[in-house]
Amino acid sequence: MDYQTYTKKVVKHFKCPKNLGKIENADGFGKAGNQICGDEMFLYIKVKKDKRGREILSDIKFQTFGCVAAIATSSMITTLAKGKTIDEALKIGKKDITEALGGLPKIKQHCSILAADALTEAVYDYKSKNKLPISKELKEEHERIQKQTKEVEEAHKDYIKFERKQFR
Amino acid sequence: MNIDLLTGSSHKIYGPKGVGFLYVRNGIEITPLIHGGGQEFGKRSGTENIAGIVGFASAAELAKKEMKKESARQIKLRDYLIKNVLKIEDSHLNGHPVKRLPNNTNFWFDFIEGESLITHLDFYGIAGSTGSACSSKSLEPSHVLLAIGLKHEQAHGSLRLTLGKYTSKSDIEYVLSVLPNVVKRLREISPLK
Repeated sequence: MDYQTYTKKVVKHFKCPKNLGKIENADGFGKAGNQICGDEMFLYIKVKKDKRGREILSDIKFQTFGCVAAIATSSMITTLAKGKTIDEALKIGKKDITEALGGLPKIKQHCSILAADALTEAVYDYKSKNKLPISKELKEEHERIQKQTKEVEEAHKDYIKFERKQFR
Repeated sequence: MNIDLLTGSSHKIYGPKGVGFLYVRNGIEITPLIHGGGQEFGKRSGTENIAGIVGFASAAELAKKEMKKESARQIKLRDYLIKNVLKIEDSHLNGHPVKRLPNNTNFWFDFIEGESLITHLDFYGIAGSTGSACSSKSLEPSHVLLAIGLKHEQAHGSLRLTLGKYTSKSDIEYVLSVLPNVVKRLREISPLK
Protein backbone atom coordinates (compact mmCIF):
# COMPACT_ATOMS: atom_id res chain seq x y z
CA MET A 1 0.00 0.00 0.00
CA ASP A 2 1.47 3.27 -1.14
CA TYR A 3 0.99 5.97 1.46
CA GLN A 4 0.02 8.36 -1.30
CA THR A 5 -3.19 6.35 -1.72
CA TYR A 6 -4.17 7.54 1.75
CA THR A 7 -5.93 10.88 2.20
CA LYS A 8 -4.07 13.85 3.68
CA LYS A 9 -6.06 13.48 6.89
CA VAL A 10 -5.05 9.83 7.25
CA VAL A 11 -1.40 10.74 6.78
CA LYS A 12 -1.71 13.59 9.27
CA HIS A 13 -3.23 11.38 11.97
CA PHE A 14 -0.67 8.68 11.25
CA LYS A 15 2.24 11.10 11.43
CA CYS A 16 1.09 12.86 14.59
CA PRO A 17 -1.51 10.72 16.32
CA LYS A 18 -3.76 12.46 18.81
CA ASN A 19 -4.36 11.10 22.31
CA LEU A 20 -1.55 8.61 22.12
CA GLY A 21 -0.52 6.61 25.15
CA LYS A 22 -1.87 5.00 28.25
CA ILE A 23 -4.05 6.26 31.11
CA GLU A 24 -2.92 4.91 34.45
CA ASN A 25 -5.94 3.96 36.61
CA ALA A 26 -8.31 4.37 33.69
CA ASP A 27 -12.04 4.03 34.36
CA GLY A 28 -12.41 1.74 31.38
CA PHE A 29 -10.05 -0.32 29.24
CA GLY A 30 -10.84 -1.89 25.89
CA LYS A 31 -8.82 -4.25 23.75
CA ALA A 32 -9.64 -5.27 20.21
CA GLY A 33 -7.87 -7.47 17.71
CA ASN A 34 -8.35 -7.72 14.02
CA GLN A 35 -8.80 -11.18 12.55
CA ILE A 36 -7.91 -10.09 9.06
CA CYS A 37 -4.44 -8.69 9.62
CA GLY A 38 -3.57 -9.33 13.27
CA ASP A 39 -3.60 -5.68 14.32
CA GLU A 40 -4.25 -4.92 17.95
CA MET A 41 -5.56 -1.83 19.70
CA PHE A 42 -5.72 -0.84 23.37
CA LEU A 43 -8.01 2.00 24.41
CA TYR A 44 -8.27 3.74 27.79
CA ILE A 45 -11.05 6.06 29.00
CA LYS A 46 -11.66 8.41 31.91
CA VAL A 47 -15.27 9.17 32.74
CA LYS A 48 -16.59 12.25 34.54
CA LYS A 49 -20.11 13.47 35.24
CA ASP A 50 -21.04 16.87 33.83
CA LYS A 51 -23.35 19.43 35.49
CA ARG A 52 -26.40 17.66 34.16
CA GLY A 53 -25.19 14.36 35.56
CA ARG A 54 -24.31 12.87 32.18
CA GLU A 55 -21.28 10.60 31.91
CA ILE A 56 -18.70 12.28 29.72
CA LEU A 57 -15.51 10.80 28.26
CA SER A 58 -13.21 13.36 29.84
CA ASP A 59 -10.06 11.67 28.62
CA ILE A 60 -9.24 8.94 26.13
CA LYS A 61 -5.95 7.44 24.98
CA PHE A 62 -4.85 4.61 22.72
CA GLN A 63 -2.00 2.30 21.75
CA THR A 64 -2.05 0.46 18.44
CA PHE A 65 0.04 -2.21 16.77
CA GLY A 66 -0.77 -1.95 13.11
CA CYS A 67 -0.53 -0.24 9.79
CA VAL A 68 -0.98 3.37 8.74
CA ALA A 69 -4.77 3.01 8.55
CA ALA A 70 -4.98 1.28 11.94
CA ILE A 71 -3.04 4.07 13.63
CA ALA A 72 -4.96 6.84 11.85
CA THR A 73 -8.38 5.34 12.67
CA SER A 74 -7.30 4.90 16.31
CA SER A 75 -6.29 8.53 16.50
CA MET A 76 -9.49 9.65 14.81
CA ILE A 77 -11.86 7.76 17.09
CA THR A 78 -10.25 9.27 20.16
CA THR A 79 -10.69 12.72 18.62
CA LEU A 80 -14.33 12.03 17.81
CA ALA A 81 -15.16 10.49 21.20
CA LYS A 82 -13.36 12.88 23.53
CA GLY A 83 -15.80 15.11 25.41
CA LYS A 84 -18.83 13.14 24.24
CA THR A 85 -21.26 11.33 26.50
CA ILE A 86 -20.85 7.57 26.71
CA ASP A 87 -24.01 6.97 24.72
CA GLU A 88 -22.96 9.36 22.00
CA ALA A 89 -19.52 7.76 21.84
CA LEU A 90 -21.01 4.29 21.47
CA LYS A 91 -22.82 5.47 18.38
CA ILE A 92 -19.56 6.31 16.59
CA GLY A 93 -19.33 3.69 13.90
CA LYS A 94 -16.79 2.70 11.31
CA LYS A 95 -18.57 4.91 8.79
CA ASP A 96 -18.13 8.02 10.94
CA ILE A 97 -14.43 7.30 11.40
CA THR A 98 -13.84 6.64 7.71
CA GLU A 99 -15.73 9.77 6.70
CA ALA A 100 -13.89 11.95 9.20
CA LEU A 101 -10.65 10.75 7.64
CA GLY A 102 -11.86 11.60 4.15
CA GLY A 103 -12.07 7.93 3.22
CA LEU A 104 -9.89 4.83 3.41
CA PRO A 105 -8.67 2.49 0.66
CA LYS A 106 -11.15 -0.35 0.25
CA ILE A 107 -8.76 -2.96 1.57
CA LYS A 108 -8.22 -0.89 4.73
CA GLN A 109 -11.88 -0.43 5.65
CA HIS A 110 -11.65 -3.19 8.25
CA CYS A 111 -9.19 -1.08 10.27
CA SER A 112 -11.97 1.32 11.27
CA ILE A 113 -13.89 -1.55 12.87
CA LEU A 114 -10.95 -2.18 15.18
CA ALA A 115 -11.19 1.35 16.59
CA ALA A 116 -14.96 1.21 17.10
CA ASP A 117 -14.65 -2.20 18.78
CA ALA A 118 -11.98 -1.04 21.21
CA LEU A 119 -14.13 1.90 22.29
CA THR A 120 -17.16 -0.36 22.78
CA GLU A 121 -15.02 -2.61 24.94
CA ALA A 122 -13.75 0.27 27.06
CA VAL A 123 -17.32 1.45 27.72
CA TYR A 124 -18.40 -2.11 28.53
CA ASP A 125 -15.49 -2.41 30.96
CA TYR A 126 -16.42 0.89 32.63
CA LYS A 127 -20.08 -0.10 32.96
CA SER A 128 -19.39 -3.57 34.30
CA LYS A 129 -16.78 -2.34 36.79
CA ASN A 130 -19.25 0.20 38.13
CA LYS A 131 -22.15 -2.26 38.06
CA LEU A 132 -24.12 -0.01 35.75
CA PRO A 133 -26.93 -1.41 33.62
CA ILE A 134 -25.70 -2.89 30.35
CA SER A 135 -28.00 -2.97 27.35
CA LYS A 136 -28.60 -6.19 25.45
CA GLU A 137 -26.97 -4.69 22.37
CA LEU A 138 -23.81 -3.70 24.21
CA LYS A 139 -23.58 -7.14 25.78
CA GLU A 140 -23.88 -8.84 22.39
CA GLU A 141 -21.28 -6.54 20.88
CA HIS A 142 -18.95 -7.26 23.79
CA GLU A 143 -19.30 -11.01 23.30
CA ARG A 144 -18.63 -10.73 19.59
CA ILE A 145 -15.49 -8.60 20.10
CA GLN A 146 -14.17 -10.85 22.89
CA LYS A 147 -14.52 -13.89 20.69
CA GLN A 148 -12.73 -12.17 17.84
CA THR A 149 -9.88 -10.83 19.99
CA LYS A 150 -9.39 -14.29 21.49
CA GLU A 151 -9.06 -15.72 18.00
CA VAL A 152 -6.39 -13.16 17.12
CA GLU A 153 -4.47 -13.92 20.28
CA GLU A 154 -4.77 -17.64 19.59
CA ALA A 155 -3.40 -17.15 16.07
CA HIS A 156 -0.53 -15.10 17.43
CA LYS A 157 0.10 -17.14 20.53
CA ASP A 158 3.67 -18.00 19.58
CA TYR A 159 4.42 -14.34 19.34
CA ILE A 160 2.68 -13.52 22.57
CA LYS A 161 4.47 -16.38 24.31
CA PHE A 162 7.70 -15.07 22.89
CA GLU A 163 6.99 -11.65 24.34
CA ARG A 164 6.30 -13.09 27.76
CA LYS A 165 9.46 -15.14 27.71
CA GLN A 166 11.55 -12.20 26.69
CA PHE A 167 10.08 -9.31 28.53
CA ARG A 168 8.08 -10.35 31.56
CA MET B 1 26.88 -24.13 -12.30
CA ASN B 2 24.86 -26.93 -13.83
CA ILE B 3 22.09 -24.60 -14.90
CA ASP B 4 19.44 -25.79 -17.33
CA LEU B 5 17.51 -22.57 -17.70
CA LEU B 6 18.21 -19.06 -16.46
CA THR B 7 16.44 -15.74 -16.95
CA GLY B 8 17.48 -12.21 -16.07
CA SER B 9 16.07 -8.69 -16.31
CA SER B 10 17.90 -5.78 -17.83
CA HIS B 11 16.64 -3.12 -15.42
CA LYS B 12 18.23 -4.93 -12.49
CA ILE B 13 21.65 -4.05 -13.85
CA TYR B 14 20.77 -0.49 -14.89
CA GLY B 15 19.84 -1.44 -18.46
CA PRO B 16 16.63 -0.39 -20.22
CA LYS B 17 13.32 -1.67 -18.86
CA GLY B 18 11.33 -4.28 -20.71
CA VAL B 19 14.19 -6.52 -21.82
CA GLY B 20 15.30 -9.83 -20.42
CA PHE B 21 17.44 -12.76 -21.37
CA LEU B 22 16.92 -16.48 -21.37
CA TYR B 23 19.73 -18.97 -21.10
CA VAL B 24 18.93 -22.47 -22.33
CA ARG B 25 21.50 -25.21 -21.95
CA ASN B 26 22.26 -27.30 -25.00
CA GLY B 27 19.92 -30.21 -25.19
CA ILE B 28 17.08 -28.60 -23.24
CA GLU B 29 13.90 -28.38 -25.27
CA ILE B 30 11.33 -25.75 -24.33
CA THR B 31 7.91 -25.01 -25.75
CA PRO B 32 7.49 -21.33 -26.63
CA LEU B 33 4.78 -19.34 -24.89
CA ILE B 34 4.46 -16.87 -27.73
CA HIS B 35 3.91 -18.22 -31.23
CA GLY B 36 4.03 -16.44 -34.56
CA GLY B 37 6.89 -15.24 -36.71
CA GLY B 38 9.48 -17.56 -35.19
CA GLN B 39 11.84 -14.82 -34.02
CA GLU B 40 14.57 -15.47 -31.45
CA PHE B 41 15.25 -18.97 -32.80
CA GLY B 42 11.58 -19.84 -32.56
CA LYS B 43 11.65 -19.47 -28.77
CA ARG B 44 9.80 -16.17 -28.58
CA SER B 45 7.95 -14.82 -31.57
CA GLY B 46 7.41 -11.09 -32.08
CA THR B 47 9.55 -8.32 -33.50
CA GLU B 48 12.71 -7.93 -31.45
CA ASN B 49 13.26 -4.78 -29.40
CA ILE B 50 16.67 -4.08 -30.93
CA ALA B 51 17.39 -0.86 -29.04
CA GLY B 52 16.47 -2.58 -25.78
CA ILE B 53 18.61 -5.61 -26.56
CA VAL B 54 21.65 -3.51 -27.46
CA GLY B 55 21.12 -1.41 -24.31
CA PHE B 56 20.93 -4.55 -22.18
CA ALA B 57 24.11 -5.92 -23.75
CA SER B 58 25.87 -2.64 -23.04
CA ALA B 59 24.63 -2.62 -19.45
CA ALA B 60 25.85 -6.20 -19.06
CA GLU B 61 29.32 -5.27 -20.32
CA LEU B 62 29.54 -2.38 -17.88
CA ALA B 63 28.22 -4.50 -15.02
CA LYS B 64 30.76 -7.21 -15.70
CA LYS B 65 33.58 -4.69 -15.72
CA GLU B 66 32.50 -3.27 -12.36
CA MET B 67 31.19 -6.43 -10.77
CA LYS B 68 34.14 -7.46 -8.65
CA LYS B 69 34.85 -4.02 -7.30
CA GLU B 70 31.19 -3.12 -6.91
CA SER B 71 30.27 -6.36 -5.11
CA ALA B 72 33.08 -5.84 -2.65
CA ARG B 73 32.05 -2.22 -2.08
CA GLN B 74 28.39 -3.11 -1.53
CA ILE B 75 29.19 -6.03 0.75
CA LYS B 76 31.17 -3.66 2.93
CA LEU B 77 28.32 -1.15 3.03
CA ARG B 78 25.75 -3.91 3.53
CA ASP B 79 27.62 -5.35 6.50
CA TYR B 80 28.06 -1.89 7.96
CA LEU B 81 24.32 -1.29 7.64
CA ILE B 82 23.46 -4.66 9.17
CA LYS B 83 25.88 -4.23 12.06
CA ASN B 84 24.44 -0.86 12.98
CA VAL B 85 20.76 -1.60 12.45
CA LEU B 86 21.11 -4.60 14.77
CA LYS B 87 22.16 -2.18 17.51
CA ILE B 88 18.47 -1.24 17.69
CA GLU B 89 16.93 -3.15 20.56
CA ASP B 90 14.85 -6.19 19.58
CA SER B 91 15.85 -6.08 15.95
CA HIS B 92 16.73 -9.16 13.94
CA LEU B 93 18.29 -9.98 10.61
CA ASN B 94 16.27 -12.12 8.22
CA GLY B 95 18.33 -14.59 6.24
CA HIS B 96 21.97 -15.55 6.51
CA PRO B 97 24.47 -12.97 7.84
CA VAL B 98 26.97 -13.57 5.04
CA LYS B 99 25.48 -15.91 2.45
CA ARG B 100 23.29 -13.24 0.89
CA LEU B 101 23.29 -10.89 -2.08
CA PRO B 102 25.84 -8.08 -1.77
CA ASN B 103 23.07 -5.50 -1.97
CA ASN B 104 20.40 -7.05 0.24
CA THR B 105 19.48 -6.44 3.85
CA ASN B 106 16.26 -7.59 5.48
CA PHE B 107 15.32 -6.99 9.10
CA TRP B 108 12.53 -7.69 11.49
CA PHE B 109 11.60 -5.40 14.37
CA ASP B 110 9.52 -6.64 17.28
CA PHE B 111 6.24 -4.94 18.19
CA ILE B 112 5.84 -2.80 15.09
CA GLU B 113 4.22 -3.22 11.74
CA GLY B 114 6.03 -2.93 8.43
CA GLU B 115 3.72 -0.69 6.46
CA SER B 116 3.83 1.95 9.19
CA LEU B 117 7.58 1.62 9.21
CA ILE B 118 8.12 2.10 5.47
CA THR B 119 5.64 4.97 5.42
CA HIS B 120 7.56 6.84 8.12
CA LEU B 121 10.81 6.16 6.27
CA ASP B 122 9.22 7.48 3.11
CA PHE B 123 8.50 10.77 4.90
CA TYR B 124 12.29 11.04 5.26
CA GLY B 125 12.89 10.12 1.62
CA ILE B 126 14.04 6.57 2.36
CA ALA B 127 12.61 3.87 0.10
CA GLY B 128 12.28 0.41 1.60
CA SER B 129 9.86 -2.45 1.27
CA THR B 130 8.13 -4.73 3.71
CA GLY B 131 6.82 -8.27 3.77
CA SER B 132 3.96 -7.15 5.98
CA ALA B 133 0.50 -8.31 5.01
CA CYS B 134 -0.78 -4.79 5.57
CA SER B 135 1.14 -3.42 2.62
CA SER B 136 0.00 -6.01 0.14
CA LYS B 137 -3.20 -5.92 -1.84
CA SER B 138 -4.08 -9.42 -0.68
CA LEU B 139 -3.29 -8.85 3.02
CA GLU B 140 -1.01 -11.90 2.76
CA PRO B 141 2.55 -11.58 4.06
CA SER B 142 5.60 -12.08 1.84
CA HIS B 143 5.71 -15.67 0.60
CA VAL B 144 9.50 -15.45 0.48
CA LEU B 145 9.80 -14.61 4.18
CA LEU B 146 7.29 -17.33 5.06
CA ALA B 147 9.23 -19.79 2.90
CA ILE B 148 12.46 -19.14 4.83
CA GLY B 149 10.62 -20.01 8.02
CA LEU B 150 9.42 -16.70 9.42
CA LYS B 151 6.15 -16.56 11.28
CA HIS B 152 3.40 -14.22 10.13
CA GLU B 153 4.14 -11.82 12.98
CA GLN B 154 7.78 -11.68 12.01
CA ALA B 155 6.97 -10.95 8.39
CA HIS B 156 4.58 -8.29 9.72
CA GLY B 157 7.43 -6.21 11.11
CA SER B 158 9.94 -6.82 8.36
CA LEU B 159 11.89 -4.23 6.42
CA ARG B 160 13.97 -4.75 3.30
CA LEU B 161 16.58 -2.18 2.40
CA THR B 162 18.59 -2.76 -0.74
CA LEU B 163 21.72 -1.04 -1.97
CA GLY B 164 22.76 -0.17 -5.48
CA LYS B 165 25.74 1.14 -7.34
CA TYR B 166 24.64 4.69 -6.53
CA THR B 167 24.34 4.05 -2.79
CA SER B 168 27.06 5.78 -0.83
CA LYS B 169 28.31 5.54 2.70
CA SER B 170 26.61 8.82 3.52
CA ASP B 171 23.26 7.37 2.36
CA ILE B 172 23.77 4.54 4.83
CA GLU B 173 24.68 7.00 7.57
CA TYR B 174 21.50 8.93 6.81
CA VAL B 175 19.37 5.78 7.12
CA LEU B 176 21.11 4.96 10.39
CA SER B 177 20.34 8.44 11.71
CA VAL B 178 16.62 8.09 10.90
CA LEU B 179 15.69 4.43 11.35
CA PRO B 180 16.26 4.01 15.11
CA ASN B 181 14.05 7.02 15.84
CA VAL B 182 11.27 5.79 13.59
CA VAL B 183 11.34 2.36 15.24
CA LYS B 184 11.29 4.02 18.66
CA ARG B 185 8.38 6.24 17.68
CA LEU B 186 6.29 3.31 16.41
CA ARG B 187 7.04 1.32 19.53
CA GLU B 188 5.66 4.18 21.58
CA ILE B 189 2.43 3.82 19.64
CA SER B 190 2.36 0.02 19.95
CA PRO B 191 0.69 -1.68 22.95
CA LEU B 192 3.02 -4.67 22.56
CA LYS B 193 6.12 -4.40 24.69
